[in-house]
Amino acid sequence: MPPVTSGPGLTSLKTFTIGPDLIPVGYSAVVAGDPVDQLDALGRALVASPEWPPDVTATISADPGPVLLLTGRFSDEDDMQLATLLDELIHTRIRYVDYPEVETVAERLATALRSEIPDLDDWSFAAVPRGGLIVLGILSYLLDLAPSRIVALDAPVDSLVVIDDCSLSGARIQTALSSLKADRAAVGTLYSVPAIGAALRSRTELVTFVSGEDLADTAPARYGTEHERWLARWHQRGDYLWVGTTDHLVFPWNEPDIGLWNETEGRLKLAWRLIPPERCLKNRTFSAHEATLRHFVRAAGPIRQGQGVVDLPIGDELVVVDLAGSRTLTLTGTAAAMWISIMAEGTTAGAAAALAVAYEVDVVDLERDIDDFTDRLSGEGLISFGLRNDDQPS
Amino acid sequence: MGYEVKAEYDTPRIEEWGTVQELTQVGLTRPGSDPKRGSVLHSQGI
Repeated sequence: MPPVTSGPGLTSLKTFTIGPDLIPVGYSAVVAGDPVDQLDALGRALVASPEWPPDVTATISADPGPVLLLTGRFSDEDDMQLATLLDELIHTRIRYVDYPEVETVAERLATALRSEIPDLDDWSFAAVPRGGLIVLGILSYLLDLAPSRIVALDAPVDSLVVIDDCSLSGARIQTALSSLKADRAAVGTLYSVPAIGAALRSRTELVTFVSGEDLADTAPARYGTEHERWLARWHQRGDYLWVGTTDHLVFPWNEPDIGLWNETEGRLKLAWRLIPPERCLKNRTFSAHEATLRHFVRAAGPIRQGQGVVDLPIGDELVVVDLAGSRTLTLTGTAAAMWISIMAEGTTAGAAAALAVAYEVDVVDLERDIDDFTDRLSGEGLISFGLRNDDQPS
Repeated sequence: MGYEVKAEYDTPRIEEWGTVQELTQVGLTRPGSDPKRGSVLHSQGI
């Protein structure tokens, strides 16, 4: 049997591993459980991202330890996504706000609006779609708003409070304010950064901008001595109301966008998501790449994958990831079929019988080739043997 | 009795086409991904 050969470098396969040490702070509020459950959730979030490359496979394995593998032929844009993902996993704290906490913070927002706007009972309310609609629905009960006081953003009313779930860049509220026909306007959000409110008030005639809870700008600590240069880069890229970073605030209905800058195209692009579909309504809408998520389970044997060896199909190939050897191999054609049969049957005889049905070859020749194949794979550390069917102890 | 066309058989081959790295190695070759939080589409006026 020929030795392992190298394929063309231009289309080389890569596998990136994500271990428990990269599970972001706060993720246990998203998914309780052990690291395998959390890496599984992260994998499901990634493949639920509209920007997820359909030819990259995410594989969860608990063997030899919890790990999420991302395997594929990554483009330059995929590399940027990977770098952004790493940046987020390392530097971002996940702040998952569940429904009870939404109610608590909405109560604070209602109190703040009453405090800041003495004649609040004379004001109408409108929501910034879509998260603002949910918050306004809750506020309508807390403030006992008559249905007639809930209007469209461009309603010709005297005084209008614009409600949103959060403001993390100010862009969405700024757009909403540009459509108003009201004489007086105020803004209320569950969560925002005070600097965004200040920036909006400097550009528009807002009566007030209040939030149920203020978020901190984490960028100075995140970027350290690079912070000023980071700010300067973003201010060169566009007319942003505010540039900074916050905890990754997540509602049961929405995971706010994470943008990454594509230097080639000169524009923001959506980064991969971090929250699994069952914990975020928005992430349930894109399921086209669900099949790129796999759960690896080591075969029962006696012949089976070696320790730290994970196999997965990508297209017509059977990819074998050797974690211990830090290499990714591909099997095609007969080799792929042989590997699959060996793992399914666990013995040379069983695999030969299965393959003889599909291939024009004598069973004896097949058994000889399978033995050569498994000896080679074993030598490479890719498979391990229990007791071979033809090697019973005497 | 049915007749099935069987696939052509050749000796199995293994090809080594790539590497395995921890995700942390991405940052060594491509620093400064510049993530930014907030509405991406609205940031572009969409």
